[in-house]
Order: sequence, then structure tokens, then C-alpha cells
Amino acid sequence: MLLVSSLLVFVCFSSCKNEDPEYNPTLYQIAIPKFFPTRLNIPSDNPMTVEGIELGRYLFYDGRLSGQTEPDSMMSCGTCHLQSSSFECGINHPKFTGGRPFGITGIVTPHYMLPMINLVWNESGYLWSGQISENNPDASKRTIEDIVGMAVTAPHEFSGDTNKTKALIQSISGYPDLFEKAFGSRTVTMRNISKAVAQFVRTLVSSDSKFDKYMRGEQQLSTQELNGYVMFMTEDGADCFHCHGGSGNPLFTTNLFYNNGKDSVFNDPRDRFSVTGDPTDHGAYKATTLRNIELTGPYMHDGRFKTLEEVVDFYSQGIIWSPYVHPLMHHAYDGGIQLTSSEKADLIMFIKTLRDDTFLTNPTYGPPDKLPDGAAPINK
Amino acid sequence: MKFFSFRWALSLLSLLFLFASCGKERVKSVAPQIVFKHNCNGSELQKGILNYTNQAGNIYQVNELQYFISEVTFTAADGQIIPITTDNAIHYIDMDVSSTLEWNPDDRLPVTQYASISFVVGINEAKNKTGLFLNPPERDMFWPDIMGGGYHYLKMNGKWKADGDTIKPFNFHLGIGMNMDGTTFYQNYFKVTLPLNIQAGTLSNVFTITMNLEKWFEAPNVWNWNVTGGQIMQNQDAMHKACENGANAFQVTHEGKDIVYHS
Ligand code: HEC
Ligand code: HEC
Ligand SMILES: [Cu+2]
Repeated sequence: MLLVSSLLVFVCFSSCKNEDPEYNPTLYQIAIPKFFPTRLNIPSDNPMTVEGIELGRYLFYDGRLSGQTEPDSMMSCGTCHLQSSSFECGINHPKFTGGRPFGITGIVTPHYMLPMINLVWNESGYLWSGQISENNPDASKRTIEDIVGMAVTAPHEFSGDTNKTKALIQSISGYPDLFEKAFGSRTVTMRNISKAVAQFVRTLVSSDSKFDKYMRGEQQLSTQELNGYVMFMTEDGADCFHCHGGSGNPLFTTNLFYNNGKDSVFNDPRDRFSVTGDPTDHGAYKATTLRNIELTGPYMHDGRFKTLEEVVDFYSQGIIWSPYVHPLMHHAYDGGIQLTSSEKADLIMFIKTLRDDTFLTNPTYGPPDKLPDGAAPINK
Repeated sequence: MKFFSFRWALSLLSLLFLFASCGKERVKSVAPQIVFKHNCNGSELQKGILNYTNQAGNIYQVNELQYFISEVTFTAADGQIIPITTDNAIHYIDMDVSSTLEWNPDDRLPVTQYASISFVVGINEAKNKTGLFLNPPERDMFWPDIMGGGYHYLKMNGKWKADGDTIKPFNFHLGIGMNMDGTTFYQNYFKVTLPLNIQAGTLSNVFTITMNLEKWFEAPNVWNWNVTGGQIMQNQDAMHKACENGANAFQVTHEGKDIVYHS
């Protein structure tokens, strides 16, 4: 009986749908990979559509999003976020020496880069501090959409003006059509620019590393990689899984915040404490995903380590004990997990199985051949 | 438009019919609410402050407390057992996440006299398999497959003042245990039964389960961090002792609050 009545209600709703032949976007569904979370962080006012994603990809790689038109001063999201480096700029970037990016006016970003992987599954906050989250009292700082607007105006990024960007995009042939298809209006707004770019960013899914294939029973790990895996996953081993995930959490991040013992004095105005005001959060940052980590040096929010070897040396012997170190760093009091050099090598071998070449080369994540008016995308 | 409203009327009618046909049963019931509280020998738990002393004399602090309670059942004076089945009968509690400190299951408690409430700390072997929780925060309790899989029953993270007044971190983590060579696994979850004594005519619907953290370290096994060390996930002997102590860590109180009866 319930079925019948709900069916009736359903039939009724669908027959009453408002149909506008001009605006009929195709809903896009993220295919949820095996073992991945089923809940997605997609704002209810920005459902993903094929048209929205297409537009977002153009905008992501369009240097004119900065409001600039001179070849030397244009900057796109893709200037810093490169697919081949898992959407970081990478340590060997030709312009950003040592992997430290700077904006159009030369001002360096406050922190080093974060990758863009599986962000649609992050519910606890974007950026190193997690400042951009549902819990932010400032309603303009909650979602990936909001990060787009911030990138346009931030002095260390485009250092631009949203009105100028809006007008410029409006004037480029091809864009008004794409906005109409995606949002039902030819008028370019910053809100719709942000929505489109955020939709594109949410499509960036990594789930096909060697380790994923191992979990799906498609590929075997080498003895060294397995040794490294066991260390990664055991408390008496290297104990990385409590913060970085593993067999029960294929994102390889909890997306949570910890002080992992790099210093004894903490005064960064952009740490987790700056968001929560909780004294135990001094010097805490997001435990980043270890997917594709071999491509995203230098490491930590301040880029202090150049190689994975340096990172593992740090966790092994270099931890600085302070009252702020998170208790999950239970080896911290002894200075670290104390691995031998062959154990370190095995651990790194395992971490490298998290490299996902399918993600790094997926053509739909990279720049389009041409922008809507035929101009070249910016991707370096 | 005419056709539209006709359909509406039809579906409304069928809904009405549906409700009416369920109204035959006479048993009155209430919606239970389970509230979780945490203290240390009577004073409300304050996180990150080094001011608790356990039986062994260790001075310690607690930074995080996360755990599962499952298979909650109410036993009536006449022996009737009413299980809570909502959410696969598993509830996650994080002392930092206020929404987890109150559980409002969909189940109904029949109006009768109750003798006791029981629950499991952790998750039983039938359910405790990796993949049970794909979403946070429960997901982040996962217990590595190579150590038996499933989920931590409990994580209590903190620090204690060790010999020589040095502060050391501890991870009091409970889950499936393993022997040294990884060939045998032990299900460490345990059941707690607490008397309720609800008399006829004084029906309760709100049950407050209070964990006294200190009891985890008291009896039958006096817990000394200097002896166990800061990590116990691969120490079955320590986890077993911890679980024996944990059986004494809970108390329940009950009250009747804004009771709404259901027919
Ligand atoms: C000048 C280089 C630069 C440019 C240009 C840039 N970003 Fe970023 N992006 C960064 C850095 C650095 C971070 C890490 C910031 C932090 O947390 O301090 C970051 C972080 C992010 C994050 C958060 C990732 C996470 O895991 O929390 C998103 C999303 C993002 N950028 C999107 C964009 C988009 C969209 C654009 C274009 C509108 C853009 N960025 C342009 C450098 C850049
Ligand atoms: C207590 C939680 C915790 C544990 C345990 C932990 N990490 Fe981290 N990890 C973090 C945090 C937090 C960061 C980011 C810190 C920062 O940038 O200041 C991080 C950063 C990293 C980075 C650099 C990420 C980047 O994008 O720059 C690597 C690599 C890494 N950890 C590997 C490991 C390995 C390997 C282990 C096990 C030996 C481990 N971690 C154990 C919390 C943890
Ligand atoms: Cu653990």
C-alpha cells in the first residue's frame, strides 16, 4: 500500500516538472570506487552536471580567469595545480623554484601546495588548516566554490578583482553559450564561475593505484612493498595508518588535523589552532593524502622536506617532542619509529604503490585542446 | 491541472488508509533516548589537562575518546527482551562530537517494568568486518586487516607522566587481538549488564550511560602505563586486561522526560 501511494506521489511530481528546452543539463554521477565512502560533499545548490563540468574545466585552465590578457601576466588554476604532479606544482617546476608557488604579483603563497585528489570525499575542511568547511561561521568560506573566488582575489594567487574577471569571461566568445547550457543564463556571474570550477574539481578521483589493484585482487605487491605495507599498518611497526588511512580507508587520509612533531615552538597564524582556538591544535595541520605522494614534494605545509627519504628519516629519528605533539605520535618520545635503512626503503616502496598513473594521465582531467574561443589553455 | 489534483487526492487517500489500518494494536510504547557521558571519578572529563591520577599513581590526561556501543537490549521484569535494532544496533560515540552523545533510535520500548539494560562495548564478530563503515567518522575507527580487521572498539588517546617526570603519549586502543605470530585472533568485545529497576507506573525513556574513565585502570587489573607502555594494539594480554576492567567502567541512570506515547 505504501508503495502504491508513494508511486502515485512520484508520478504526480514527474508529470508536473517544469520543462525549459533551452536549459536541460545532464546530471553527472560520480562512480563510487570500491571501498570508497558513499557520502559525497556536494553542496545541494550545485549539483554536478556534464555541462557544468565541461565549463569548469575550460575555466580551470583559462589564464583569463585572472582578469589578465597579457600572455606574461595571465595565470590559471592550472598554472599551480598540474595534473602531472597530482595537481600540485611539483618540486621541479620551471618557474616555482623548489616547488614554492607565487601569485601574479610575485607574492609567495603562505604555505606549500596541496594536491587535488578525491576532494569530493573531504567532509572535514579544505586547505592545510581546514578553514574552509561547513563549520566556518563565515558563510563565504565553506566550500570548494568559495576557494575559487578566493583564488581570484588573493594577493598570492591571481590578485584580481571578481568584477573584472566576470566581465572578461563574459566577453570571450563561446563562454556565454556554455554558461547558458550549464546554468540556464548567458550572464556570467562569479557564483556560476565558482560553481563550474568546483564541479570540475570534484570529478578528480584517484582509485587506480597499484595498491588499489592489490586491494581489488588484480595485482600482487612485491615482497618489499608488502613489508612496507605491514609496517605502515601496524602500531609496533611504522604506525602511519592512524592518521593516513590504509586498508579500511582508501583515501589515505582521515582529512583530520594533527601536530606531527616537527617543531617545539608554534606560531604560524594559519595552523589548525587558528581555526578552532583549541590549545591542543597548536601546530596541527591536515594529514594529507599519501596518494601520488612521490610526485608532490616538497613535503609538509612548509615544504621543509625535499624527498620521501627525508620524510621517513623524520618519522624515524627526527620527531621533536613537545606538549603539542598529537598522542597518536606515540613513538615521538623516543624521537621516532626507529627504522633500519632497509625498513625505510621498504616503507617507501609501499608508499610508492599509491601512485595512480590512470589519474595522472586521465585526459578528462587535463587541459582541453583549445579554450571556447580557440585560445590556448594555460597549464604550467 | 484537474488530473493533477485528482492524483493528489488519490495518493492522500491511500496514505490515510495506510495509517488507519495500522491503528489496531493496543500496546503503548515510548521512544527511548540514550545519552552518553564521561567522567573521571565523578568530575566531568576535561580534555587535554594533565590532572587525573589512576590507581597505580600515574598522572595522566585524555585528549580523545571514541568508541562503539552495540547490541543494546532492555530486559523486562518478566524476562521479555527488547533489542535496539536501529543503525544495525551499533552506535559511535566521540566525546568531541556532541551529536554522537545522544542516540535516538527508531525502536519503541513497550510500557512495562524493566529490570536491566545490556550492551556490548565494541562490535561482535558477526558484524565487525572491514567495510562495515565506509563513511567518517566511524570509518576512521578501522582496525588493520592484517591485525584482524574490522574496527577499533575504543580509542582513548592521551599522555601520562612517566618515570623521571617525562610526559609520554599513550594510545589505549581496543579491538580484535592477535597472538605473536598472527595465527590466532581474539574477540575482545565485552557485554555490560546494568540494573534498571524501573517500577510500574514510573516509566523512563531517557537512559544515561556514564563511563568513568578511571575504572579502565582500576580493577581487577591495576593499570600502570609505565609497565604496559604507550601502545597496546599488538599486546593481547594488555587488551584482555583492559577489557576486564572496562566491564566496571559504566553506570546507567534513567528518567522519564517529555514522554510521548505511541500506540
Ligand atoms: C599561485 C598558485 C595557485 C593558484 C594559481 C591556485 N592555487 Fe589552489 N592552492 C595553492 C596552494 C599553495 C594551496 C594550499 C593552500 C593552503 O592550504 O595554505 C592550494 C589549495 C587549493 C585547494 C584545497 C585543496 C585541499 O586539499 O584542501 C583547492 C580546492 C584549490 N587550491 C583550488 C584552486 C582553484 C580552483 C584555483 C583556480 C581558481 C587555484 N586553486 C589556483 C596554490 C594555487
Ligand atoms: C599523528 C598523525 C600522523 C601520523 C601517525 C603520521 N603522519 Fe604523516 N602527516 C601528518 C600530518 C598532520 C602531516 C602534515 C603536517 C604538516 O604539513 O605540517 C603529515 C604529512 C606527511 C607527509 C607529507 C605530505 C605532504 O603532502 O607534504 C608524508 C609523506 C607523511 N606524512 C608520511 C607519513 C608516514 C610514512 C607515516 C608513518 C611513518 C606518517 N606519515 C605518520 C600526520 C601523521
Ligand atoms: Cu589503534
